Amino acid sequence: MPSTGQARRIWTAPAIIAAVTLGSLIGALLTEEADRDAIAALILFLTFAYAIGLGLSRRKDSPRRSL
Amino acid sequence: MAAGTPRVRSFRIWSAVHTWTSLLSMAFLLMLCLTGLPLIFHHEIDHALGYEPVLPEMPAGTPHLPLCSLVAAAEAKRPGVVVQFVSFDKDEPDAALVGLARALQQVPSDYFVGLDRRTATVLIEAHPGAGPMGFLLKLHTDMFLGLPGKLFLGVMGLLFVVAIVSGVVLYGRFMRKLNFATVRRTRSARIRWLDWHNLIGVATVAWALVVGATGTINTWADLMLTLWQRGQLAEMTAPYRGVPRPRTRVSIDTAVATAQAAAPDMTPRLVAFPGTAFSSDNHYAVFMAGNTPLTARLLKPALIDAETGRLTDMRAMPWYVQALFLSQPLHFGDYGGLPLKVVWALLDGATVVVLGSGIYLWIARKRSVVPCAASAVSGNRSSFLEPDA
Repeated sequence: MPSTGQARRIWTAPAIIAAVTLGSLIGALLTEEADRDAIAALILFLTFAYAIGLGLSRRKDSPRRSL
Repeated sequence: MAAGTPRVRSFRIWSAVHTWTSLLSMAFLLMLCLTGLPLIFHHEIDHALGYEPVLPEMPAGTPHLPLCSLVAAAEAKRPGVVVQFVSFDKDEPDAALVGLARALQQVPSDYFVGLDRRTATVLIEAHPGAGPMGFLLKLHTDMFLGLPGKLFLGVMGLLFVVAIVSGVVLYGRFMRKLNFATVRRTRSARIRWLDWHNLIGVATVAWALVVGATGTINTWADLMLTLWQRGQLAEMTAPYRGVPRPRTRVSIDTAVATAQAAAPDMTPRLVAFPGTAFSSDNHYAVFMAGNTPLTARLLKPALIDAETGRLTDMRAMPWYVQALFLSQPLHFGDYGGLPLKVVWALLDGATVVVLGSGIYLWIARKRSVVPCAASAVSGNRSSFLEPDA
């Protein structure tokens, strides 16, 4: 079993991204005004762009690892 | 860690689940992603291609004509057919769509006639599924196979959901020694794509789960409506069982006015004529919708006696139909403005990348395993997903 610290390191970012995604989707569904809808879309886009941007910038020459 | 320990066994089970649920549904998911992409913009594309009514500019507040004059205008356009329903779009309050068919009970209708409610001018005439978007929608929803096609795609949707859940489990195992969003660029192409597969997959996981699950629910739409017809609708019309069809019937305007009086804070969204699949021989069914963004998507049928114009019953639809109504916008992503649609398209494209990289990883792993057959047989590597880096 992974330690609490390890679990936190693995799951914090994905959990935040998932929460923000769900919040944006439901927020856009519940709102009438087009500008709020656009804000939800922008948040969704920024979240995805942040993750991909990290992938593009975070390079690693990782050592071999085993399960 | 020795092969065969519970941890490794569990990893291999999840890996096999992820591999096979993905592979079995892959071709269909790719088709759904590719056909779904233009469908996100179906309003814009239909509008550009002339498959959506274009309302002429008129002074604000121009009154609407009685609905019976719209019905008469639609009937005149298609003699020999019957009117099944009149529907209204909450985003185009000056337009109405009339559905006509050769028989009242026929589903779907043969023709749609779009009319301007202010002038009863016919704006558009079309067959259901007309135009490129109609073709893509049919391909996307049932592959031109009707209910079996829908249910099959529903199974593919369930496999997709299982593939996502198993992918999340595997993600945790893979990321034990890596920081979030690490892409090991100096390693082999397979490792690089594995990292991208994991990163894009986990970044889109919530969206993909929502779209996959709501898409699966949508494939059950026909079954849910049949269940509603045989359940709640049959219950609501039970007192009229055996009663002959009315010789004369009140106008559609009277039926709508009665429903409106019964639910003044709601607006009519669809009126099914007596004798159609969504009413009874003796009733108009006026489907009312609320006025908030959420309740506007939930319909409440009001049954109006076609002979007397009296309200006989009005109930909220069952929970499963409400769930269906709420799942539709969340699947198609067309409930927001253009920015949301663009993001939806972007995430759809990201899902194509995840699917494509998944196929690549499977093929690349199979290639890399072939020369090491002895090691694979010995149980060291039985899955293409097993991390070897």
